[in-house]
Amino acid sequence: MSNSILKLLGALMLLAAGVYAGTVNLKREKRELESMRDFCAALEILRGELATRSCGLPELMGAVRLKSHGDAETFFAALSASMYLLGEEEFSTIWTRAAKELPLPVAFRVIWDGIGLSLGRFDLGMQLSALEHTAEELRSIAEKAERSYPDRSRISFALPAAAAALLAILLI
Amino acid sequence: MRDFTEHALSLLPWRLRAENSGAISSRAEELRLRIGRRPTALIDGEERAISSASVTAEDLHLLLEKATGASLHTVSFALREGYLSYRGLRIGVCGQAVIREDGAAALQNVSSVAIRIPHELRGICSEAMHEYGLKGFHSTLLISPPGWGKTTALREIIRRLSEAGRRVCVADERNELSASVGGAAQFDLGPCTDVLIGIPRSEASLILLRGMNPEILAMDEITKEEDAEALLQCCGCGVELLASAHAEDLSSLSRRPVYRKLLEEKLFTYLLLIRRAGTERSYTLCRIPY
Repeated sequence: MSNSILKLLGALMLLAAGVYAGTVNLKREKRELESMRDFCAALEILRGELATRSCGLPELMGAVRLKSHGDAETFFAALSASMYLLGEEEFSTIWTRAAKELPLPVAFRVIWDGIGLSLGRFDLGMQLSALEHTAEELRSIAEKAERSYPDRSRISFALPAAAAALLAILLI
Repeated sequence: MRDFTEHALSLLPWRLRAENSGAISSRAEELRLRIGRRPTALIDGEERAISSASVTAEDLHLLLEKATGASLHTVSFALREGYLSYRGLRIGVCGQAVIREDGAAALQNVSSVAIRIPHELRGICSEAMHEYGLKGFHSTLLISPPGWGKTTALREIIRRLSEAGRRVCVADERNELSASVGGAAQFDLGPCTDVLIGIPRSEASLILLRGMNPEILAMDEITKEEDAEALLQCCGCGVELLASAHAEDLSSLSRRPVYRKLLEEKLFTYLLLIRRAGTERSYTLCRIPY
């Protein structure tokens, strides 16, 4: 096989890798966006359930799990399944661990983790106002991410693809 | 009936119970945890250490999270009274309380916890029950200092009266008498007993009177003016009363305003005095000399 064919093959592979990396980035961005939407919606459900039922957290988490979707449902399912650990682990630790593997942007995750530190620790009114404040913060992050999504998605896809194309040109 | 000692131990974080929990006697009346001290069990009136590890603030936080399901808002009413109930266990809590203008309370910096372990002792108060058999049941007030077995005796009398066919309604504010879980009582209170849990005694007694047609109305530990007022309202309705109070004897009882009024109104016919000598308890029923 001649040298030029090998170079061409290499260039094609680089291009394919670049396109693949761009697609993966795009998917991640999209999933993060969907996750944030799911979590914001779930937080509203949580607030509503807490205000109307005034029940304990184990029951509350189960109720929210039934009404939430996507990654938020996964989160509340993991949380409900781990409530038996209360007494050995703090609730906030269980809460943070349940969200650990989920695709959330860092800024969103930090605020979401903070909810675990206030839930159940204060009287109902204080918890509800803390949740309201947190919901606003999370909504603002999610809306910002949604607004910048078209630009970010273009960059996320174009950057690795362009880098790969440049490398391919250099190789050829 | 469940093993409440095991139940109480399960509330302790693992590092405190792993070492020595098997050695704790079923006679244990309380578990006590104080920050910086070793956890103890109150057995035969004496506190005995149950672990070599000292209790930390985190241990108490974990214990309270378990007892409340990490939901302090569900027990804020009880916490204002200095305790919370967990499946029939009464957990006394000490620390720094923060009371807001609207009366809501939150407990910060919890420093110590006492878990009361309830017991079921069948056959106690037999002489009193015999006397009731001869003369019929009349309103009775059980008195003793704290921790001498008023609740246990009250539970047994309720069961025996209920088994004798009397319709007994219980205002069980702290869920100590029945220790109900999911609506099922863990203590046998007899076949003719109805229990209202979680509502202040003063309100519960009137609710029971209106809705459940009791022959005998029972409640544990009259401590407030409202409780006494509610009993006064009930007494004119043809209902016999069965209640308990902290006092050593009749004279100490009559010195306290909340009970003085009850005595002046001749609300109770009998006093059941609980005496304690070492591990033994005696129960004496006497007619109140009005």
